[in-house]
Amino acid sequence: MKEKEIEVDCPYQQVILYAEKDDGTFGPVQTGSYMAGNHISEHFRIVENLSKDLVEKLKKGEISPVFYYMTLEGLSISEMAGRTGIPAFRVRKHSTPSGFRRIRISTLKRYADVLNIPVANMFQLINTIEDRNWDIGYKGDIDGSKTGIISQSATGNPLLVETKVITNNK
Amino acid sequence: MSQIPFRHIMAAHCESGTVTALLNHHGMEISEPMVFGIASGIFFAYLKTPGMEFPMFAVRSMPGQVRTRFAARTGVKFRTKKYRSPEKAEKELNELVDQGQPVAVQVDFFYMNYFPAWYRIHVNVHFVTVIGREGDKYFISDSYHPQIAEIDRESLLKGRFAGGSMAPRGFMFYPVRIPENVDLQKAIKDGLAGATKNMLKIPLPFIGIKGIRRFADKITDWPRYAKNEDYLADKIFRITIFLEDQGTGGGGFRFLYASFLQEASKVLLNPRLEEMSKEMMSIGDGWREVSLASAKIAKQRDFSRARLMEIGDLLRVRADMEESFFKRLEKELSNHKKT
Repeated sequence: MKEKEIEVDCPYQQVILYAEKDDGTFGPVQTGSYMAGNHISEHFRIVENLSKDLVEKLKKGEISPVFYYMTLEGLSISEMAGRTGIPAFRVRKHSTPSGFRRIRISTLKRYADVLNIPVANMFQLINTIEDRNWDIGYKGDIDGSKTGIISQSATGNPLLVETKVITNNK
Repeated sequence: MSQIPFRHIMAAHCESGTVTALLNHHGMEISEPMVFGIASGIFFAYLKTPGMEFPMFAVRSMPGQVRTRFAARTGVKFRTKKYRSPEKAEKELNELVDQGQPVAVQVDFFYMNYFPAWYRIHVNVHFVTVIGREGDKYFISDSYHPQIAEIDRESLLKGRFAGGSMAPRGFMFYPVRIPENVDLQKAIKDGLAGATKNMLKIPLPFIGIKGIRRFADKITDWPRYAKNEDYLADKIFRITIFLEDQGTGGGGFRFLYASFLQEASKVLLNPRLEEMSKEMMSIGDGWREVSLASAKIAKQRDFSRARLMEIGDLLRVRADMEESFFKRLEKELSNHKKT
């Protein structure tokens, strides 16, 4: 591959590829990622579709929150078992709504720690504005509003999390 | 304590890049392709066991082997350590960094939060070099990041002690002895011999050239394992990611290996290897064709058997070319030994 043929315009994700330079030598070239540069919107669409599908199933009670979060993080049952120290057959059981209802809180905490979420998030879905069609008010109000993020921080109580909106004043 | 003066460079692959940067820091001028080639990093495996939800493939040797094989073939000695206790691992890392010793650590890539969230996945075999600390933050030289990065203490610790397959267990390493005169010729020959063994001699049907052929035969089975169309599209996109974007230097490490062969030809004074390096570059171009075809199929969402067979056919050509290449490389090595 020639150096010129390998270049991808993608400043936010750079990679090193090896290519043939003008003088015939092979060496490293810093360029943009092919996938990020060409197919990132498709990637986001796939992730969004998978995520929407999971949310719907979660809302209908067809899957358990454990299954929901582990799928979002790309963890398989065996990987989840390895990370939590919970046997795979139990993780499989806890991935079903009926199995989830029988989980001890201490076990739930082990899942939450691996999933990097507070235990409280096993019992809530936090919605933010996902798109501009969300009918919450005038479009102008949304566009004119300051960017805010929902922040959740741990407290002294391992089962309690403080949720707050931080407004970005920049 | 702040940052240790360290020449941060991006690299194709995290492990070969980390080893290279550490050796350069300690005065051994060596390139990433040379580290990768001496360590026989080039490889292929196609895996699908009953316990696996979806098949996977690998285009490089096992994580950790770049360092261990390079060390064995050059006489470089690395100090390595794993821990049970995160507190002890953190304390010893801090002491080393405070003494001015850059230390490579194994982490779960997911916790390297200087990358955007969409880019981070759970992979327990990412290697970064810790080159300083200040308060609750660490300075990191990550081969995949354009600049020196910063990470908070908690994230680094989580990354070092993530569980699951190939759990890092706080693993860290740094060079403690670099021989004054490394017999580079011997190391390169050993590396080349190791590569031919990887690709031709391992008697398992899913490793090396046989592994590429198995991948070619089995790709049409992939829709069977997929939960839905989006899931399958994601998995087929991942062929492109694994070959091009996920620390391979492009073309599934074949471009990096071509660079090694070019350097090796100069060290071994063997012009035939220079010719073979060009051939390997063209094999890499072929792997790039596999990447582009996969991305196209995933984007068009046409997962018919005929379209998946297109990928299979491209893979079969790669297998034939690599089989011929590595057999000739093996012959070249035996000729070189006789002269």
